[in-house]
Amino acid sequence: MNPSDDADLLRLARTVLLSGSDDGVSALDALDLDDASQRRFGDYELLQRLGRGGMGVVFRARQRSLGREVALKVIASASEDAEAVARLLAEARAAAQLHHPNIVPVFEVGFVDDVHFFSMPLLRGTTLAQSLAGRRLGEAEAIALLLTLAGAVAYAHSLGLLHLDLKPANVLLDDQGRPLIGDFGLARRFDAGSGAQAGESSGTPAYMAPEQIDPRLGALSPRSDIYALGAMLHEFLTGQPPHGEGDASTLLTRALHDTVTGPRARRPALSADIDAVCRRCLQRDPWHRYASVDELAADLARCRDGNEVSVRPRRWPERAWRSLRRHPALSAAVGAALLALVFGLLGMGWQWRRAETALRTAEHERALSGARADRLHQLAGLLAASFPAAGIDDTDMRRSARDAITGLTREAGSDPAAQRELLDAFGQALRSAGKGEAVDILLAEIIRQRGDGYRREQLAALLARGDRDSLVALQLLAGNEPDAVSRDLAARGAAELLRTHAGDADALYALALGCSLGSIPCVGDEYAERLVAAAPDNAVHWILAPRDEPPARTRQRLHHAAQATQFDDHLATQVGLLRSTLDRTPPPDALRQPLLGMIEDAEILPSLQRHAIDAVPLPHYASVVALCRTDREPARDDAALRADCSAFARRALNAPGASILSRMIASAMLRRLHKGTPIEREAYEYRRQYVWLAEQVSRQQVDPDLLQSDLARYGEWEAWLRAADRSGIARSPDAAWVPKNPQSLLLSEDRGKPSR
Amino acid sequence: MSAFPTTRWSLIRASQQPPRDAAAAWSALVRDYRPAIVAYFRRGVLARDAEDLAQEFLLHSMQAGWWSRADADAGSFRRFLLALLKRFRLNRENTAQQRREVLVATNDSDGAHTAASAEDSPEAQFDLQFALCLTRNALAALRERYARDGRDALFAQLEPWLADAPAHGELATLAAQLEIPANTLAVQLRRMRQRLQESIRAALAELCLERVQVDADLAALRDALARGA
Repeated sequence: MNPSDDADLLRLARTVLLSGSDDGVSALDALDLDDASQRRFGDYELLQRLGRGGMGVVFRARQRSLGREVALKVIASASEDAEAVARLLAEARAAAQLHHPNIVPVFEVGFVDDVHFFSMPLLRGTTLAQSLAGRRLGEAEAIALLLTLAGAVAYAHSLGLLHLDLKPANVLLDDQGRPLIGDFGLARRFDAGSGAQAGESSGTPAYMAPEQIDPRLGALSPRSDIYALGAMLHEFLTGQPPHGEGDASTLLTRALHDTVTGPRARRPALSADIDAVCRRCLQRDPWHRYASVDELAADLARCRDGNEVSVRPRRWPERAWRSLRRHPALSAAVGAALLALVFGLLGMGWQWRRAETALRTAEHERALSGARADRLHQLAGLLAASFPAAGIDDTDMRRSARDAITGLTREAGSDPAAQRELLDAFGQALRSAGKGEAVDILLAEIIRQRGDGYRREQLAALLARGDRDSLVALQLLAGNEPDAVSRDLAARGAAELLRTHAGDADALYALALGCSLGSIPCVGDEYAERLVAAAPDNAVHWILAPRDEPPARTRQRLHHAAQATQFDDHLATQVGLLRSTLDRTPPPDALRQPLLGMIEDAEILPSLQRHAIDAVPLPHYASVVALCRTDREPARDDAALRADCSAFARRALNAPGASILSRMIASAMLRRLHKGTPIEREAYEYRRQYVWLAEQVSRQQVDPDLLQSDLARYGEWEAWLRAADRSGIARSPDAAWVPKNPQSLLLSEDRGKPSR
Repeated sequence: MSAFPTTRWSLIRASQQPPRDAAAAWSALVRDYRPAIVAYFRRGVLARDAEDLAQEFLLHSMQAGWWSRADADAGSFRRFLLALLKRFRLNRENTAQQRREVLVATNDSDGAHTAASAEDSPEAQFDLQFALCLTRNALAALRERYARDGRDALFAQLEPWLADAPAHGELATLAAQLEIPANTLAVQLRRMRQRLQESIRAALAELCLERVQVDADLAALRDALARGA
């Protein structure tokens, strides 16, 4: 080979890089098994190459001393690290100690001619992966299979061994179809206290626990195998592992960053219990998974038997209904026993009649309540079916969410638990209809409709705390509360803020913004004046004008804004401030119960915080946009004004501190101001990129907490780009891409006309 | 904490690094990967000036300290270099267009690049050559390692089989010459190939900040190699 020759080098690069990590073993393919001398391998005679695995080549071989055929796995470790080889051997020997009906036994672990090997029984059946081949199993069958595998894994754990590469391809089926877990090639010893430290990232991406990918997330432990069992359960139930299809890098990124949806999202007919069990196994944080395989097995058995699982406490009507359905004879017997008890204890006619009447009434009420529950479930299903699907513009969804929540909570009455039941049914119906994205909007609506009192309590707490960040947070949050109590709290907070932080730009910005939006009381542009005096070089500061200001004054402000060298609408700072300031007071039951219909208990507080932050107001650009419209006076005939408009918008288009709203406003302004020029093209590309991101990066893919954390650190635009990276989505569309709604790329005045 | 706390790339990016050291490290790096830079320009509208453009790019990058522009996003040298190249190319194409040196408009040329087959795009050609540079460096390092251990003869004998499996009987013949069992020789070859693979990955890891970035870069390079088949 001549490495200076590109053709030779290309061939080499392809051989080494394209054939995957097991390529190192391919030299064993060079063995000529027709040659008797090359067939010899210690006590074994190599007969046939059966395949390759992550750790080596598997041969069918004859063990001469015992005259039996075996599968011989030749380990292809070329590691120079003697410690690693020693560990591998120790773990191989540990695997050889495993004697379980569902674990492939290891006959011998040895060493011939510098090569380590295992010998195992020769199983002629298929692997579970081949048997499944994308097929979905029935829920009962999937549970039974996973219970069998979990038993074997729990046994290995009890001997201090983690498998770390559990997947259907590593489950062999013998002639009777009995599953046997094999390939302990990546197995590690672990310590019950500290787990096992991860080494080089290894495993199979679709089934790897996040801590196997990134050791910073925690030590390897039985919870790592539980993750893989959950991934297998997901595949048994849906035909696909939890992170879907994709190359290794995409799957690893998804495993690290995406929130896993349960199998029910893909197969709505599955029970909520098995969905909850699977989701518990697939939690990103190991500490949120089952602590042991035994716990998982116990829940699987409960699921199989129709009993309540530990990870999803049932509401009482469901419990009663299930009990009746699963054990009608038992329920009847209990009923009869109770009657006998009543009869035996009391033994008097009038008491018996009274008891009988009470029972009949209870039965009648239950029938009524059952009919009512059926009706409400039907209603939830109908509403879900007619609920609009997600698009770029959330307006329709928000309106429908408002109507749906109002209607449903009215139907359910004032009992928060009943509201929760109904909303749970509605949420499930939406997910079944493929409209899971709507759940987030519904949450916002529930919080909006039912969270008044809670929000006011938060505002009062912020005022009571009285420090600078709490007072700024109070101004930002009060903007969404039109009631008199909130306005009063905001006014008191504003006075205090002005007294203690009169020269603080962030504080003055919060006040000026609230004043310009009319959400906090103010006189004229008192706060905006102080703000531009304190920080004149930020263009946004100049445009926080009261709503009814005359155009001539807006014109002056815009001129100042155009001179400024910075553009920062404070969104990132505000989000950071709110994330660290908002306290975590549990919400009252009137808010918590309906929310439980949509999300898990542990998600409620983070969700409330995120929704509060999402509602933080941004500047109102309407007067500036109107002033800069080139199709009308005054901008049409005023070149100096157009120059100011352009300078302002160009600063906003790609300033790191510009939120997406600011950038889109700037994009529209520039497209009007610079028609037919490269500037228009650049501004249009920004719009395209935004529409692309909004369309491709769906709410379900994004980890909302990570998004807000990125927003606080890098700004809103960059946060979305990073979210796209994490989802494996290109940051910008290619030239041929057209959005689902081409009108979304047009300027508002062009919408409704044929698109370009 | 980064998975690769002190890589060649993280050293260049370290703000506490003396500027002269960073410049020297950057210069060595871009010269190592010059073939990839030239390949990138060969697929643009200014293809005939590819060598000159590459030279100009290298000079500018060193004089203007472009490595210091690497932000938190630039987790890998490859990705950062590609971004710089793209910006540089668009800039040059705009200038050339203004001077009427090229007939097509920049926007159209962008469209033309996108419309070109994926394996022929500047990015794919860059990745292909980048993979070759990486392989060349890793092979040289491996050869040196064998020489240090006094096994240069063995390396020379097995090297031709790194890319192409030995023909029927060849392995046994060489094993007989060397008077070692054929199995042992097969293991030696297997180890050499695996070490080369590890060496390539290690070389790539030196150019990244995070393990996940190494995986992503490796996937892109594999794509380019597969497409260029």
